Amino acid sequence: MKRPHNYLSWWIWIVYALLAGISIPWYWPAADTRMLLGYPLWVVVSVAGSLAVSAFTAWLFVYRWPDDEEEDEA
Amino acid sequence: MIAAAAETNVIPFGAGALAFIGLYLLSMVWIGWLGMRAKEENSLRDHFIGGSGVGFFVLLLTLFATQYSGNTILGFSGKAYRIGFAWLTCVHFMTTIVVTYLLFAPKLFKLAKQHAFITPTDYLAHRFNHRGLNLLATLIMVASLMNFYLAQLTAMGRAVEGLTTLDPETAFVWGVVVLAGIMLVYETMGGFRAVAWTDVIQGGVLALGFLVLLVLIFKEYGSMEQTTRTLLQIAPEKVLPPKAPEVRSWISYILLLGVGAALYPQAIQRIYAARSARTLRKSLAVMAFMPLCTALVAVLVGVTAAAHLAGELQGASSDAVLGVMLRHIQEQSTFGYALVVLIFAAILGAIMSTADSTLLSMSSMVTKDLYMGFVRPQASQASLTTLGKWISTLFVVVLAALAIWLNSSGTKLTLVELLEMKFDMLLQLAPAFMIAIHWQRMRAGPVFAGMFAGLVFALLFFWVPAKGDGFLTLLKNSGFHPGIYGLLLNIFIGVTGSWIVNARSKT
Repeated sequence: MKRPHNYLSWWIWIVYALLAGISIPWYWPAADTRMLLGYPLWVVVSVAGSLAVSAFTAWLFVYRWPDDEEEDEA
Repeated sequence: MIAAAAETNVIPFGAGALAFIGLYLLSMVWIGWLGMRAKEENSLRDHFIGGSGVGFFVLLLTLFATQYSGNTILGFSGKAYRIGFAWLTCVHFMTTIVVTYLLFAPKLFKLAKQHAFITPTDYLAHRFNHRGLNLLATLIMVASLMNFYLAQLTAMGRAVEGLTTLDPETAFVWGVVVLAGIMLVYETMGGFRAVAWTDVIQGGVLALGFLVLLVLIFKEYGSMEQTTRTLLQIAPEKVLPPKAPEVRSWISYILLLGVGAALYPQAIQRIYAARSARTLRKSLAVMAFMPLCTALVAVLVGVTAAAHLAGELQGASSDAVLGVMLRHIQEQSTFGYALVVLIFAAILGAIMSTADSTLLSMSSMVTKDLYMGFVRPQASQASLTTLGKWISTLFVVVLAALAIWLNSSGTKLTLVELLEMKFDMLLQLAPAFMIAIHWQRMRAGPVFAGMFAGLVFALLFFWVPAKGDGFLTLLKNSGFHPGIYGLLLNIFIGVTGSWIVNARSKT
């Protein structure tokens, strides 16, 4: 897969902003006691958000990192 | 300066366990000797960066072992014990550190290879050629690392308290002296190679330790559902979603630690030390998942303790929460005892692997950026390398003595509070690394002025009264760390100043 020269496109930060919006538990009712898999629901959602951030970041490192050769050509 | 740590509660180890720990420590000296034999030349780059660099496996484990300190296990579990699931923020800020590398690691790595950088200041000197900026940035980094190294030394002393039949204060002194001594020996012999190679063992044991810990807490204390339900009854605030001020605190932690810790000099030097871009990007890709295997486990340990050991520990001593749990496990069976020894080895590895990288980094900056940069620019590589080893020795002696004195004088702070202080300073380096590496028209003068103003502004907050109606008091109580406000001022000065300078130079 060819890696782009401009590896920090604007859409990457939109994705991060969305994932941060999901991961940071700002939108939960204060008295929410719902549970999932034995954990508070907000914890499960926050950890899932963190997992998504990790996976997206790993993907960016592997596939979007500007290769030396490609940068030199650019 | 650090709260009573885990092992004060562990039953003293027997001869077999102590022999295992002794062998574990001796293996590090042996690795230091191997590092010395692998030396390619007597130069600063060879000593501080490992010459041509390290491959994927070593880089991954040295990144891992360096980033995850004793605080990740002891401090994080203690804080989760105190505030509950809300400390899940630590998973996010540890992930943000890796995300932050995206902003500058690719370009920085390429420049480092082209210009043979050794210290973070080498990049600044190359980019800005401003002696004031070099000096200020180096002082910020050395001061932050001295703070961090002191914390690790204190953690070493705490780690061995209670392990032997010696009284805690004597054990603390022996712990600091022996562990810091071993670290100094292998680091002086093998430099970066010794530090990175010992990180392979330390990081491996640390990863294993977290895995064992995860299995043990479920086996010992039952399912998470049981833990959550118990907590809901006895301390619901530790289970319920964070309220608005806590959410602000989450965002502040993510920005402060996520960006600040990516600027740790020893972390930047690991970017330089990667053998190739491929090595670095693969290592960072794996590192992106590490918070879920480490920080999250520490949170689960703390939360489990909050449900099952409620009231046994309070305030600063809650950093000892893991020790109480380990004691329970240790008392049950020989197998449990063996696992506790393994977890203890993991804690020691976590502390030492962070401390040795910190020490090498401090020594490289004082030698290269301060001595060579400002005192003797023409000094030979061989004499600078020798000086670097003496500077390491000086740091160990002075800071170990300080750690022992602080311990005997009884000054106490929790691990996490200690951790927070240096990030306010380190954060002020962000524009110089993260903006200037992409924006070539960012100018040296405004960057220096912004860094200085941001630093002063952030540090001033420590003297702003916590009560009152003043604007600064309002900011102090907003839930955001002072370093964030300092950074905003810093960016404003750096960016607008550069625009003005550029506009003037056009006319």
